[in-house]
Amino acid sequence: MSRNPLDGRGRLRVRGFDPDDGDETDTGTTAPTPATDRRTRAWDRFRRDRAAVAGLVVIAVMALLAVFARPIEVGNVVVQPFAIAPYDPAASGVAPTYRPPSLTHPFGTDWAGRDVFSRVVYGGRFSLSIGVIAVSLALVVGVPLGAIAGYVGGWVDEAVMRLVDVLYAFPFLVLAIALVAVFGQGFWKLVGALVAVGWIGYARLIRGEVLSVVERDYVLAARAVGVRDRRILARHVVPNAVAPVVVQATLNVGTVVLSAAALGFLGLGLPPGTAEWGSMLSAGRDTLVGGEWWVTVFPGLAIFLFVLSINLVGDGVRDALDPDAGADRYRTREGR
Amino acid sequence: MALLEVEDLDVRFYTEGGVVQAVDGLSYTLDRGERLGVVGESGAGKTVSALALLDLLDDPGRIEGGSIRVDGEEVLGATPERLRRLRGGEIGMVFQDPETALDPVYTVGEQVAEAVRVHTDVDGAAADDRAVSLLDRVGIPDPETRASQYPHEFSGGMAQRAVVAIALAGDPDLLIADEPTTALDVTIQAQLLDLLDDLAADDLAVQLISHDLGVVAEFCDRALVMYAGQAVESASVDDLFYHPQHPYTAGLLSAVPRIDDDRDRLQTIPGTTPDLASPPPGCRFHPRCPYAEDACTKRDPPLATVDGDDHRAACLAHVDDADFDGDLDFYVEVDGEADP
Amino acid sequence: MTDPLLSAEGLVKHYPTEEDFLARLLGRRRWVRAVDGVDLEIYPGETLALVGESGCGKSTLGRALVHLEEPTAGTVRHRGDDLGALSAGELRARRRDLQYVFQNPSASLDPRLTVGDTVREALDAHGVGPVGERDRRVVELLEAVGLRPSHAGRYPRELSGGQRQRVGIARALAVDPEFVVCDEPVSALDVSVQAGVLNLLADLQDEFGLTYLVVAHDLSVVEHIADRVAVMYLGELVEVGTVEAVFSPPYHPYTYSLLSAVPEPDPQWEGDRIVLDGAVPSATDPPDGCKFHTRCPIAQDDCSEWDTHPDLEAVADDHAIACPYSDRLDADLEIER
Repeated sequence: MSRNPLDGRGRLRVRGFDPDDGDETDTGTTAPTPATDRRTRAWDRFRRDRAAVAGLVVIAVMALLAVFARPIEVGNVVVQPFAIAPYDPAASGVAPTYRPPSLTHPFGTDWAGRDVFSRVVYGGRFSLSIGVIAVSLALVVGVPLGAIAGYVGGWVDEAVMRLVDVLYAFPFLVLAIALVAVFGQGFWKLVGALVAVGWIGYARLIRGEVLSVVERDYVLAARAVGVRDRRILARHVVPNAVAPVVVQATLNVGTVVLSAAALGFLGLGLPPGTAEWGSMLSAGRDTLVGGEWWVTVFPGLAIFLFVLSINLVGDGVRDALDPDAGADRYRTREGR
Repeated sequence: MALLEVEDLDVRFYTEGGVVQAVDGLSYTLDRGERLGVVGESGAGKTVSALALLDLLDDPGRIEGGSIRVDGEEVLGATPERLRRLRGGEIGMVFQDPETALDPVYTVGEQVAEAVRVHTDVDGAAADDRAVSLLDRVGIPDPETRASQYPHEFSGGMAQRAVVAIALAGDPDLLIADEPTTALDVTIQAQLLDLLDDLAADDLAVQLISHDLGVVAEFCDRALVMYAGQAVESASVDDLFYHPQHPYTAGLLSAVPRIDDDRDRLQTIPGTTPDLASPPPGCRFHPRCPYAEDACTKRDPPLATVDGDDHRAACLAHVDDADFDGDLDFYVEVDGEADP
Repeated sequence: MTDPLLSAEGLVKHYPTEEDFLARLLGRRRWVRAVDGVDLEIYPGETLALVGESGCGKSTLGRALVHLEEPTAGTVRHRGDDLGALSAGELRARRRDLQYVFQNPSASLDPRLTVGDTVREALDAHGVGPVGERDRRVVELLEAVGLRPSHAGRYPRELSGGQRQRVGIARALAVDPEFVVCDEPVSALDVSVQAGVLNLLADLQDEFGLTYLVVAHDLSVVEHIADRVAVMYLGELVEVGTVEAVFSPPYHPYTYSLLSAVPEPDPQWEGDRIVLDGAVPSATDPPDGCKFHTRCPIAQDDCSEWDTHPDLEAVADDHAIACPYSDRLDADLEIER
């Protein structure tokens, strides 16, 4: 007798269930809501985080204050005529030295008779710009290097990662100090030092993300279709790998500002007497004992406020970009 | 008195996209030693309702109404102490993916022993011994050695058996298995179903949740078909597969590919499952139903008796006072002949 | 007999296991023998199904056949051309002929691109048609797979599983291929939706003259869509033939167990089932001789002593089995080992 695993199978057949809609179109959708792209949804999530929005507002205000602190001239054209800061930040002797806060000098005056309020408001230019520029340039250097290292692999990856390892071995600040000490003071040299030290973290971070994104089916699908590697990297890999880097970068703006302040505090970075918050703290060191608290407290508060706001924004960005929020969680529950 | 009685269960998910009615008015019973199959596709609410039984739903899901009684005692609103005794003690649960059900940093033996300690009076070394005997009971060869291995050293089928062992640790009366074989190969699935067969013969009631009609046909005594969060048909498996009374069931049965059935082209049910945040008015299946009439858009059919208490279907065609004119003219042909 | 469209000879794909640096240094490296010597021919216009359970290597074989994975050894010929001998640029151009549909439609679509962008990318990659016409072509393709033009602006997460799978098919069709590997095209979909996609694939095959390799684990699905079937176990083919031939005696013992293990949606069916013991052996250390002998219900004494695996031997015109004892299944299975 022939053993047949198909014996008795297929006996049942349903008759009479004939859907009228004979064509095979799959016309339903599971979500009737109009198409909202990722950016809109992320922005909506960000907006709901009140602390993050508050942080953003504070930074915006500080930025505005910095821009409108004193007139800006490009060439000989006055681009920005307003001056919120009543006095020239560099002008010494506009008032008696070491005056406590008053109506004419809300933040008091320092040892050179300069208006501290003007200096703090104007100093925002340095701190904010250093923060944003240094981080942006570090991203421009670190992200492509790390992404290519992760995507291409092989000796390119080894080379970049070993470089990263070596540089990582040095404490951030020590390296920055060394670079400034070698190349001297000045705004761009300071930025350069911060970039040289800052790119490492982003490179490593994005390389790790790229390694995991590259395993995803849609990357393989793009290759199966015949898309060129260059384009796959730029269009599929990096955008999907970049979220943690964005979060890190936002938070790093605060770190960079602190580092610039630290370098300023040590007397490195910008020329002494510059109205940069860190340098102001440094120069005012002696006054902490002497009792003229306003010389250091206000710049210190400014640093604190800026870094706090940036951190709140960074947290908000991370939560906004988190794909695990809301409706997706319900759908995954039902499996398949 | 039935072992498990679910009455009018209502579960909602409060999501960004709106309120999703995941389970709507679900009622069914399960007797001691009975094997019930819960059949449905994705979004039917099978898993959600099972999690609700043990109050395992967390945000954004919430049980909004109904009653769940185990051995006559109400579960919803029970004290944490009672819930602890229930989970794993009276009701054991097995999930789909054995890899994630087991903690990778503890040996399998430790995990089974922990379950034993939590749900019985057995402690210490005796618990370890009992763990080994449980592993043996679920058909794991060489249980002594296996008990000291880690989950990653187990194959999928073996890991699933270990999960069953953990579920059995408290000597439960009811085992809820949610798609226990979906992640497994068909030959391994056969092994696991054999095991469940063996266990069920021991007076263990089993609620098997599956999208696989074949598995339900072979293993279960009775079946409950769910669609869009509601029960649409309830019957013995014989009745369900040979005399389906709900159009969705008929559609499912005609869509499932069967070996050796001489069909050229497969049947589909047009359309897709509805968005549970805004389900269709009236009967939730009506947009896809070839028998739908006007009345179907207005009234949500109750789970009405078709043939004695044992066979029920939620279709207006079976409700006497409904404004339904047509006939459900589908039927099951056996071996080329219509079955009486 | 027509020439095969695609043929594989002695195809091998081994993966290194994740050994640590030291083990690698000491030369103690283990290999996962995912595909372990496969000869296969696929003829124009047919649908060949590749079945097997997890770990048998069928997905790897599918990818190796279109060189999405570099084979470790052996050759794949497309219309007689050795794919391994092509340069990277030539291979990329070949992708126009050899396409791939992925298993998990949620994972194979970039969540950041709209449906239209994803399909359009395929056109852009190969410069199909004039640039101004491509958006229109995208709409044509979407309609060909049963979607609406409005779907072009949607994101994958807004579509159902079946719809996403159709997008994947549209993308593969965009470049007008002649051969498409469909990797478990319906496994991730609900039963009522599966048929829609399978019928679509069949219709597209007729309309565009496509040849398919369908990788699947569900035998009941395979029976309905395939012309020929190849059964795989631990990296090797154990049975190849037309669907009718493979699904009827004689069987390779593994095919027999596979078929008997499929649950039947009929509560009154009393099947002739063989439940195999244990799990599939590890692919890094497969059994000696015939790889199936450790679980085979009719294993004979010499099955473990073979030098190499048994070859596929023709038992009929279009049916080959890699087991010299397959006729023993015909007799009463009381012949226990």
